[in-house]
Amino acid sequence: MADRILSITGALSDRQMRDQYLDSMDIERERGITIKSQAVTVNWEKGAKTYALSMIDTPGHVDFNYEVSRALAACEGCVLLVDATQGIEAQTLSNLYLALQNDLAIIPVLNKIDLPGAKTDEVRATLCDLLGVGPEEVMEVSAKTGLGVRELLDAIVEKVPAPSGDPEAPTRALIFDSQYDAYRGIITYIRVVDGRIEAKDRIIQMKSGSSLVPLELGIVDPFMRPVEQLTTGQVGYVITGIKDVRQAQVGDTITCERSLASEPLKGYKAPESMVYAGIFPLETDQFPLLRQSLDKLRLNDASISYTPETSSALGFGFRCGFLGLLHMQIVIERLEREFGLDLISTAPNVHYRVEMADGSEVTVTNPTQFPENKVKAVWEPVIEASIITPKEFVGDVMKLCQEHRGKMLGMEYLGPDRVCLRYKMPTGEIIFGFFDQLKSRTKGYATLDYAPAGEEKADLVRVDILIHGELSDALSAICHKDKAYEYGLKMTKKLKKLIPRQQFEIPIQAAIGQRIIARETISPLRKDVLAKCYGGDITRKRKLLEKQREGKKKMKMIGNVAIPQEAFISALSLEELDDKDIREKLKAHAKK
Amino acid sequence: MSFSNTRPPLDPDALGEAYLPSDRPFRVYVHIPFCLRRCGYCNFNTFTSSSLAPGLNRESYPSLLEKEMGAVKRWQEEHGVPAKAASSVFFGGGTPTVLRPSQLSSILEAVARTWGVEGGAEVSLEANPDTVSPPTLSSLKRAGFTRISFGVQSWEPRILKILDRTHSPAAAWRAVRGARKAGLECSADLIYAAPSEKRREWERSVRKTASLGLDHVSCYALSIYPRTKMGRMLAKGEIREESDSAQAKDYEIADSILSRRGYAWYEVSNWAKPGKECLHNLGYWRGDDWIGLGPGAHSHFSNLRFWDFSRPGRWSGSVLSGALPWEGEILGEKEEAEEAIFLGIRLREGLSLKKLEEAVGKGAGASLPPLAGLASVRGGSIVPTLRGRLLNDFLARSLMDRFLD
Ligand SMILES: Nc1nc2c(ncn2[C@@H]2O[C@H](COP(=O)(O)OP(=O)(O)OP(=O)(O)O)[C@@H](O)[C@H]2O)c(=O)[nH]1
Ligand code: SF4
Ligand SMILES: [Mg+2]
Repeated sequence: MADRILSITGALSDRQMRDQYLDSMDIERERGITIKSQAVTVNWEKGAKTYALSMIDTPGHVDFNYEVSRALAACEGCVLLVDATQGIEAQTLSNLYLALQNDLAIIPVLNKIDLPGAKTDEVRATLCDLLGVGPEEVMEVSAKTGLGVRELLDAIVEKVPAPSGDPEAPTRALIFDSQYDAYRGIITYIRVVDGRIEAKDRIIQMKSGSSLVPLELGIVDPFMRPVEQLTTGQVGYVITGIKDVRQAQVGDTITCERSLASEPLKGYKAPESMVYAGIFPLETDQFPLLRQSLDKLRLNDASISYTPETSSALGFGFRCGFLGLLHMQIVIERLEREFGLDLISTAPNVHYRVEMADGSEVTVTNPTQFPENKVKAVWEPVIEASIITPKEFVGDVMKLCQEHRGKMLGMEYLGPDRVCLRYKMPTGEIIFGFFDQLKSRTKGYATLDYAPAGEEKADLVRVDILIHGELSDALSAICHKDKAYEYGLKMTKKLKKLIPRQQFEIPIQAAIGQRIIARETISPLRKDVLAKCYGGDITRKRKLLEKQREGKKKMKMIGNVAIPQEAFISALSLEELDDKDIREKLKAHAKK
Repeated sequence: MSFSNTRPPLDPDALGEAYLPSDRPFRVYVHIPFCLRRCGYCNFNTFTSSSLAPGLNRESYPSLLEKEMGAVKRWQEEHGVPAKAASSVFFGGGTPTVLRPSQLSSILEAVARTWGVEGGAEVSLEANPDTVSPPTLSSLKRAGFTRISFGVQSWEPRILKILDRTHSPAAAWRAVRGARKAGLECSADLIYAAPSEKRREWERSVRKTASLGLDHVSCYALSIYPRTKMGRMLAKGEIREESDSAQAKDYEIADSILSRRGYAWYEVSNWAKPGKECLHNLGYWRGDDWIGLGPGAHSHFSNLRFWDFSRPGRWSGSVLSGALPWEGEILGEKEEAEEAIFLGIRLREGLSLKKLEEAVGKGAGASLPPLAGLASVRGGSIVPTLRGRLLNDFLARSLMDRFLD
């Protein structure tokens, strides 16, 4: 849709156009999704007047709700785009509520009406119900053919109010995004709310207190174009030349010396991390680079949090907080690609609050912090999930939610065959693999959205993994009591497959405290010699031994067991191991 | 990464320039790249066709070898690489006995003319049991061969079939008897851990071998390479590789039977009656000099290792033009040390502490890594135990990890 608007408004010529224009990161194009919001200003003529429309293209995935909420806080109106072939999705609802909370003008639009599978009438009816609007207010477009896009732009001019700021008031501009550029330093994206900023103004960031004259002021249309001033309502960028990444806080307010404001804008609520994982460089000497890279990435993605941590197996790294699993994968991928790092991450977990017998409290973001004794109660975060599914799958969805300790809050029909189920569920249950299971049990039709909903008491334990008697801290996990055995069984089996045999027997155990709950044994390697080593074999053999020695140097040592990094990577991947033996053992365990 | 295998190979002149004089025994290896039929596991540089390239066939081969010898000799003279008389000669393959005894004899004579052969030197050849008859064996003896090594592999018809060998146990028996009658020292090669081989079958093969009064026995674990018939069967799942513990068990069985029958191990895969060790092969592990002749043959002179082109056409083209058909590498101190370690540790005479210290520096003997159960220091040498023979590569790496970066 954004592509179509860029081309119809003439912001981009045909030659400049390419698919997913605003999704400028490689990962976005490869995955075909938007991860980062992008702001761009286009011109649109209606009547005799030309209007400057600033739009922010936002992501759709639930992990990136924070991006959406920030974008909505910087806007006057929004286009609620619904795929007419899919119908209302769970995130349509949550984004709609966000828009309502922000008091925005909402323009409901059905997209993809060019497709034969478009259920235009049915989806329109549902939208009308939801929004309490008449059918004539729902617009119909095809972002592919361009049908209806001009009408949509006209409707935006008509329905979205002009910026409400005061051009005469002291200058206040909201930093809604920023980015680190290796050549130009920090680029801050701002929305001028009151007053104006001129290129020669000395600007002040109200929270950080920094004060300087910008190197460049400009708008994005979608190219960066320097301008002399940004006035009330305009969206643009400021380049300050600063390279110290701590200086550019998203949510901070910019004012200027010429017209100093006394009160900053409301800014943003810092996003809450939902998922935590340890991130470690494969090469230990990359730790400083990892720190710098995280600092820079945070500019562009204010929702990452990180604190240093040490692991006996993985060395120095950071415990990072993310908005969700997709977000975590994206951050790791961006760190690797944009900063040339090779990383390994631990299995993700949520955070827990542990009440101790003596009344004190521990917050656990890393399983190793989980206290073993004198625990009075453990609280885990919960979410409220909305799942929208065709009605024939309601039974399957309910079963899945129960398996994940969900409590049903409600169920309503959206039109004749779509149902919205609402559940309260432990965050830890929904974040890992739930979405995939949901998709596979509903043939891909169900959609999911969720929002944090406080915390609840739960029966949780820490499962440790011991390799040859040594605790491998990176593999510890906090699980519900009923799932501990399953984790232990699967992890020990996984490791048995992944750890190469060595010259001695290696027991792999899963334990809760002192109690061993599962065990596998890697039998010792009995033979490690090439039978033939004659004149013609010597050079090859020397090279083979050299290669084996190089390989071993790269391995991680747990006690005296050498473990290849790939084994850790696979062990920590969320891929589920499933075989007959596991199913049988789990069944037997359930009977007990 | 600074792997030596990333370095491009050097030409004979560059190698000659880099030669560091060193006084070592000199040996000659002659490669015969012909076989009648390719065995299922074979990945050697050998060919079943009798004509391999223009000007290269079974008939012309001896003369090509002689031409190569001449070129090598000139190279030695040009670069001050001493040309000594051979302390041993070894004809390997392929199947040397695919050539007529008269041809083999003329090659041996050419070696003698070029370098000379020490009096009483060991002169071995490899043979397939079904390519020899009593008359060929006696002509070989007359031609100066002292020792023959048969590819027996197994005495079990079922296993011979799995290995896709052409000979029968009876042929092997006749070959061995004929060789002994002809007065040749005699050795047999056996292969263990063939797919599906039962322990009993392996045990029978070893016992039978030990009962024949041979001088020498070699036992090799079957390695299945991807680009062989058996490799393709493995990929298709038609056969399975035996586990390392099954292989270890087979090895222990062989060692125990052979040693009870008077054969002592002297290298990881070799057992011999006292004094019947293969001196030529010992030379490889002790770091002797040798020249290899024929496609794909490897050579070693002091700090140089080089190898003949493997592709017959390239090899013969080069030989016929009068050039040296090889390329190679110069061993630095680190490579020489690595070789000293992994070759020495394969032997019962062991890796001498003196040699180790020469290779990696003084004091090495006093700071050995833990050898628990894998080796012991005896008579100034590190000698592998039975377990250390089975984990010999691990043992070598541990020593290298300790002394080399
Ligand atoms: N046929 C047809 N295909 C469309 C239309 N609009 C978008 N698509 C296709 O739908 C897919 C997704 O389009 P995007 O614009 O990337 O979707 P999005 O809503 O931005 O996705 P997120 O950024 O992940 O929220 C692409 O393959 C588009 O080509 C349309 O009107 N008609
Ligand atoms: S006899 Fe030896 S060289 Fe010839 S094909 Fe068989 S295994 Fe290969
Ligand atoms: Mg998008």
